[in-house]
Amino acid sequence: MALEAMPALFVRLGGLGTSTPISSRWNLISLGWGSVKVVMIALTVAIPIAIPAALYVSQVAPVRWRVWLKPTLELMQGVPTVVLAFLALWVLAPALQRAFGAPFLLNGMVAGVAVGLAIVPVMFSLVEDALSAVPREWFRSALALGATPWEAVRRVVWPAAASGIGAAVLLGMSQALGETMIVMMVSGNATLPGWSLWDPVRTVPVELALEWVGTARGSQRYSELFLMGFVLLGLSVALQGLARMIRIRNARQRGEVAS
Amino acid sequence: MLLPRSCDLGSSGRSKTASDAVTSESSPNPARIEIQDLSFWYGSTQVLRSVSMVVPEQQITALIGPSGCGKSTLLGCLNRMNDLIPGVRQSGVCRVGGVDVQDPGVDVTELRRRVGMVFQKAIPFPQSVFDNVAFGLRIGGCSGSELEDRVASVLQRTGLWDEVRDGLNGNALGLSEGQRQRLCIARALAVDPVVLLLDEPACALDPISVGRIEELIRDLRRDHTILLTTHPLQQAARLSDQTAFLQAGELVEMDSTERVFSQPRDPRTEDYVTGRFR
Amino acid sequence: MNRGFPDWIFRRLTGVVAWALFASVLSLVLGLLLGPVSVFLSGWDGQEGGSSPALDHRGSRLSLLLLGTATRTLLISLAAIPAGILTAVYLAEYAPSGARATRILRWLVHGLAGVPSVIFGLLGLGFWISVVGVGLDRMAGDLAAPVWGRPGLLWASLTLAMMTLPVLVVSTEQALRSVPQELRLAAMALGATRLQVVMRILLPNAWVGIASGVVLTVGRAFGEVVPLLFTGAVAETQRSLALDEPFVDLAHQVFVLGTRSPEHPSSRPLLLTCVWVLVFLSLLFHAAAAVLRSRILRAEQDRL
Repeated sequence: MALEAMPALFVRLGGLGTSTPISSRWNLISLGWGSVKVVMIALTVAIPIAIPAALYVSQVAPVRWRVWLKPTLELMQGVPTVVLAFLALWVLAPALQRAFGAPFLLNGMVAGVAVGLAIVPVMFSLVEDALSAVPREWFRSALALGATPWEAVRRVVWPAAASGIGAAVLLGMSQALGETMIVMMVSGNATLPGWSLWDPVRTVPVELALEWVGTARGSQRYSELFLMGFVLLGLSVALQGLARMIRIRNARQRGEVAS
Repeated sequence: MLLPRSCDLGSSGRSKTASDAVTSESSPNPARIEIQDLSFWYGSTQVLRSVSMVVPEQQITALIGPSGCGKSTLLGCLNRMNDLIPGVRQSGVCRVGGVDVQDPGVDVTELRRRVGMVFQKAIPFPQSVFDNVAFGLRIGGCSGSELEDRVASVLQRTGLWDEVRDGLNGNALGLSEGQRQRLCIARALAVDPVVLLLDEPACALDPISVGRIEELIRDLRRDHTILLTTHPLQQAARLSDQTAFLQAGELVEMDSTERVFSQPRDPRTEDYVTGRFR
Repeated sequence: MNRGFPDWIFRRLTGVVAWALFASVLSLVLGLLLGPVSVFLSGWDGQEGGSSPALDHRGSRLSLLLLGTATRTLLISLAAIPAGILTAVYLAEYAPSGARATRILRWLVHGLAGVPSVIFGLLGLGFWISVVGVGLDRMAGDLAAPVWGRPGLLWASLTLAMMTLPVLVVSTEQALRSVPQELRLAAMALGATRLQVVMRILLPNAWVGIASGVVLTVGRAFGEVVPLLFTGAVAETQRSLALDEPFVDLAHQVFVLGTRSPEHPSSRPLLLTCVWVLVFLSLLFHAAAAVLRSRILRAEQDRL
């Protein structure tokens, strides 16, 4: 069962026998840069939305509300990314173009914003979990010492939840990195690197998705793609692992038993 | 910047400047607590019935009674921690230093500083020992060497100083139960409260720690008004000057500790006191 | 007092963001559910003229799509759910807890849970099709006209099953672990064997969490497109619904039509229909899981 997953990994690792051609560096860089642009924009969009919302639901809103407020905000997780991509294509892109007058309809900014909005529900959920996991007694003790709710949150609850929040951000980053559907439909898919955020971009996962099937087995292009795929895989696993380690380490520190 | 030592609970119609002394006491800080006809409901369950009592300043008053009689709720009314619980109702008046705590002109956070509370279970923050004690001071804007001095002085006062002076930056969760409870008391003392509310201090602690804490409480009597709830009757007999007996939300009897334990007036008090007093 | 000011800002600001998000999510969901409906009711820009033939065409197409999607989902569930639950039970109960192997396995599973879907698509292509499929063809003796060694329903399902397996294991294990220790210990003290503890105590007590995980997983698999691009979904009609054939699928259709549609307004109705069905079913799964989870939340709050 679990062993089924293992051969899959080894196939990937096994194919990595070819060398990295230097001439393709430029291509890789522009792709990497595209990914970076999209992920950065996505995080810039998602964090200012997810974190205050999580703070509200967890600390400010009356406790009874949490039961229906939290699932509703998480409802967006139930919408498939294709649909979100479709909406981004039909609604968001034209709107942004009308508002900011970018030269291309489909560009990196649209992709970044769309991906950012897509990861908000997950990030919100995780941050809220982290905040609510902080024992309520600490908050109450702080209030009993004369703190305002804001001070109590800022000085006690937030630091206690900080690692969970960090983990949530890392996971959001990982998701933004690997997001294929939205970017594929909305980013314009140009492989030229550019400094402007409004240029069309192509990110690593999209490149993999579009180019893989047609590439011959042993060719240079193939090994390029393979390398990119491997890097993507490695980054994702690393981010995930990092997030997990942070959470486990913090749980131990707080005196809870870690598995 | 130090918080003023005078009791300056603002009230409507009066300015809130630090120099206004609202109490009728002269410069000593402790304030007396007056409770009139206090009733309290959790939803539809009535937990306190028309309780009236006076907690005199510079004395230790103990609240005794069976579990669920409303002791902790009574404490919660005095520093308005009960405000945090949804679905509760209250009637009657609580005055600290002559000022109604429910008065709209009263700043709740200031009230909670003045009326300090230590909970039943010692709950230090997951921060260093120093940060725990400094918490209230930092909120008030205190910092730097003054902060350090005040933390040290309050730790000395609670007798913790020698034990933690080398581990000030260590995590507070690493302290023993007895030390934690004293830390929580120190934390509350750091902000110069006028009244100290102690909910079952030294409950579930070993006898030596209990002894230490009781000694500490006695010592604090000089500068504070102390109201504590306790379960073991011996503790009330040892520690307090006055004792109030609550049963089912009603104040059955309140008098000097000596009288309550040796010559109780109410038969219910007598039952309770003799039944447990072994 | 100037200490009250930051507090006020804090409450107002977070409240504004939270409620704005709330309103956005609600309007998004409602828009997606009601939008296509209203478009149909008001009669869309029938550029293809005459709604009846278009309806028929659409109807049969839609049923094909639904069939393909349903089959795929079913296959994925069959493959992933038993395997996932068994693995989780193993990890939670039987695996020696300090052992290196266990830690590695758990690390592996958790890591795989976060891997982007593209990679799984490539895996599907590289492993299931190129290795297993070709191998099967080789055994059947006919490499020139590959039957198994090309994209098909079976490989697509297996690939997606592989993708959703880790997530399912993680959530199931979590549900199993949240059963209070005392129950397990009490059962063991009464002389129950490991298996009995699992069957009689763990699974019944954790079933809500497990069920919500399963429902969510299926819902996710339902809406995934990327791996399908490599392993079996096509845009046009296929000959039959066989395991070794490429197939059509709802989510994939949205992708195809969504990117093509600006030039072909006639495909818009189909597109909107697909979107609607996809969103509706997906939300249904998600809502079911949320209901299950709220039961857990409520039980937690009662316990506090």
